[in-house]
Amino acid sequence: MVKKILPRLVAIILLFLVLNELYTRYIYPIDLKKIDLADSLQLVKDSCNILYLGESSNFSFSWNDRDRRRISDMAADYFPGLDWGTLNKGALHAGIYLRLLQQIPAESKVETIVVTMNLRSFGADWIHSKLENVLQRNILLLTPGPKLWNRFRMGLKAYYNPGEYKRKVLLQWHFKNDYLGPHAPYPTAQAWIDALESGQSNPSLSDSASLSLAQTFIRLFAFRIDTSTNPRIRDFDKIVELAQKRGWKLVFNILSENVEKARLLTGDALASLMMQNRDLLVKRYSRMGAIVVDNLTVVDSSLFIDKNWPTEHYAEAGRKAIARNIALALKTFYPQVFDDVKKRTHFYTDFEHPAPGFATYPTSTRKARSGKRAIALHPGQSYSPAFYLTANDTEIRGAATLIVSAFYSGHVIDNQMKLVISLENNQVRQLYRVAYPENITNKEWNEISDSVLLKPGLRPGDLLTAYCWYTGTDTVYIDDFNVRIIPTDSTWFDNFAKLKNTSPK
Amino acid sequence: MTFNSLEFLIFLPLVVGFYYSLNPRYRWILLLAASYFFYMWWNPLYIILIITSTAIDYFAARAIEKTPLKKKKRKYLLLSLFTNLGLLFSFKYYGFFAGSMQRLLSLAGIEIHFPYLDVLLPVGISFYTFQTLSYTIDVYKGKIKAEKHPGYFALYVTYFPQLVAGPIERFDRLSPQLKATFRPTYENFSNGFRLILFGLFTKMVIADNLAPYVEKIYEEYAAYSTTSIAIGLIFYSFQIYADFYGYSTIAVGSALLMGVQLMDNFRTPYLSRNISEFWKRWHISLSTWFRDYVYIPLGGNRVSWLRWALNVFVVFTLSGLWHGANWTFVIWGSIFGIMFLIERIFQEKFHWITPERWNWLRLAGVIKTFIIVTLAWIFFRSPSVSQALELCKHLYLNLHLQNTLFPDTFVTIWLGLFIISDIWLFNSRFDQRMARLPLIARWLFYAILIFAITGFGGTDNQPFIYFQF
Repeated sequence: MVKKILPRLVAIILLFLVLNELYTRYIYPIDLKKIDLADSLQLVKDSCNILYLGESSNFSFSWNDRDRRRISDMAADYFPGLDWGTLNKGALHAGIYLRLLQQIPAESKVETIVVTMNLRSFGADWIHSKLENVLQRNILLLTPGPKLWNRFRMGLKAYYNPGEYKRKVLLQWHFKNDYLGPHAPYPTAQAWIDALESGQSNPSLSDSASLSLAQTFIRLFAFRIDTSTNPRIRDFDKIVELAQKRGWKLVFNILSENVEKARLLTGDALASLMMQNRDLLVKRYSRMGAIVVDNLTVVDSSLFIDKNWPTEHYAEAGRKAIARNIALALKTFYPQVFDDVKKRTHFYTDFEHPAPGFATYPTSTRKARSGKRAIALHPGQSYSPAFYLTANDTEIRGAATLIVSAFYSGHVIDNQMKLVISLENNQVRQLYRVAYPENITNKEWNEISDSVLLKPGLRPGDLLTAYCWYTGTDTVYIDDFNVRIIPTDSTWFDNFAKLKNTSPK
Repeated sequence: MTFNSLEFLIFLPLVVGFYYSLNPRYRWILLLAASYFFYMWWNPLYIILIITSTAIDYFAARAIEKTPLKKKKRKYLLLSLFTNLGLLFSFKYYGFFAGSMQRLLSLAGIEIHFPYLDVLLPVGISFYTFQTLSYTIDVYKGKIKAEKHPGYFALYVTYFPQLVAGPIERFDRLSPQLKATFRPTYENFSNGFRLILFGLFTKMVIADNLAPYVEKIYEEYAAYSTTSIAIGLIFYSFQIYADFYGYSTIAVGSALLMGVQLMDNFRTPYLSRNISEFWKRWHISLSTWFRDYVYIPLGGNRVSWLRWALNVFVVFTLSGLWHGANWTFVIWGSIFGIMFLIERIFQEKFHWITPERWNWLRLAGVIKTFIIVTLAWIFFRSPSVSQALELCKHLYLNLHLQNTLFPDTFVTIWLGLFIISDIWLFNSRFDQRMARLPLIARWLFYAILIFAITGFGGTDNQPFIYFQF
């Protein structure tokens, strides 16, 4: 029987090798495309200097955001000469980042890695999250080893994949058994949750929504990071090791949490536990040679989008604050190319990509003065994306002159095309100026421009905007929007005529 | 532990290896330990239920055999029935009955709140309960002798290849095989591996890949065109078939590696020319169980036509209820009962038959049966009766919708291959068919199956559908 079985066994092994080759060549690329993360990695791994790894915190979730760009894009504003790559997807964590980083070839252009460190991801609730299954499944395709074998493991569900019941049991176990330390008011998260339920812990939580939110905060943040057992610590340690091996500069970005809300709902103890965990991470990874950017309390409570669940989803100002801190940390590595956005006086967009200072907007590829894109204005869409600036966005103080210009293309008669400059303070109009084209010519593209003196300069609560407004019935296109802010004294007006036509084109 | 898991692919060769290297006298210990381990991998606590059921049936059967008094025999039989059905009721049907009773009573103006039992349904409880029930009933009827060896009896109840989703084996078929001294043979190994290979293909490539499409249609039927819904319904017919057929094939193949021949649970059911034939080809071990332990004791067909019709209807409805504690399953079973009776009336009154031999009339019968079965699955798959009816409504309401959900090309190709191979296997088993193929064709088939299993298995976590029963 052995004589019969052995050659067949060899045949099966040979068959597997041939099939593996077939799969790797023809099917693997198709499978990889289905996993957006892996597909994105292929796109960025050879083309960027700085690679940003993050989860849902990177995105904009608020329709009130004028600038809907990601934190990584906002941080990239500070380094105009460098190429940034971003890999992000909801619920990512250190384990997945590590697998992604392992895929970057040694000869890659990547010099610096910015890795998001989400405090919540160290807790049992995230470690045993439902979303983990899909991530673990997808990441199998990127695991070292024969590609067909990895794909087979995906089919066999041979990854961390507990069912609903097991997940519930595991979570309960952690909540009931993970000791919170001597300074916590309760020994375990479960005891704390129960105390809240019975009204012992915080009797002021009168309504059920607040009570539920308080309990969620406990479930998500009441833990002490155990460096010997926490899987995230193990993975972040490996990221540090990998970065050292590859010679990458490493930045860890501890995300902001709604500490203020946690304190309000549960008292100081939970906030203090969060700080302790933060301190542990800062200390541990700074000692290991990484730069740890501590953003834990940087974002104001009002800037958290989700009010009924603790998340790391921030409004525009929150993302900007985090981006700035990351950029300031990266300045250590790239002092030459660092360009402080808050000191920037020239803002320009050709609408090819969302640009700093300008609201994010859908573009058209039908016509363009530069690049391939412009903004189409028509009766259904009368306004161009606004340039906007608040006192928080700039460090320019005192009197300044604002020079705004843009190019338009299309049939315009009378006063149908306008350039508007407006200044509001806490929604009270301070200034409203409308300019019209000086000459309507037969040229393909005509310029419209205006300038205004902001006498006291930008003050807290001010919102400065500039945009094009079209009131005709055809379609016109706007491109090359240019804004200059020039700190001004009285002599500047003498030179205005010369300066106003300045444009990078 | 599921058959389509890495753990099982390690577990099975280990068990088979130790099985043949052990002295045959002690093999039952290995198999029993392996079976308990296999079950406890899912939830260690629920092994208590199996042990309880095993112990009570062992003693009840022994007592039935020992006592000469009919009354006492009946008492022990009732003890076994109450224990087994009691466990089944508590874990599977209590919530359903409590909810239904509560609603019924509230209609009569009586407000009673039954206590809520938050328990997880033990995997395979319906399968092993029916298996042990058949044993005590057969001992009571004097058809078989009670097992004296508690170990062998426990092994009969828990034999891992068929523990959680059948086939529901009878004691007189399985027990002698568990006691037999099998020697490893090349034929058993090659046939066993062939069946496992085909079973894995059926489950992993067909069932698991159809599942996401079906899920989408069943969850968002209002958004998709009639064509998409219809494709979704057909896909579900193949998903559930491939899922259960795949499981049974792996079970038969795994047992064959240890020399044990389990019964075939499926015989190309979608090529049945009527409902009666469908149930002779679909989940055969359950159909024959209901025939032997419900239908025949009720009088079978040796009663008046009306009584017979009632018997048929009761059997089908109970079979529906066996699958799950929900009105959807009751309706699903009843549909088959009604269709069975309608077909029988047609056959008797109009002498309308669909022949054994393949011709256009048989083909029409196959298509008609497939349509009935596919539509009946709507109730089986839907979480509630109202959702099932809604879906039926959207089958014609969505005629104007353009939103078509296209299945993946590879999935369509593999499904096509599965359908062709199912037709090819008509009335025979995969291992036997393969053995008759020339070497090159056989290995080409293996290569295709291995490539499909390793490179195209569905990746969503889809447990075996029948595990929940």
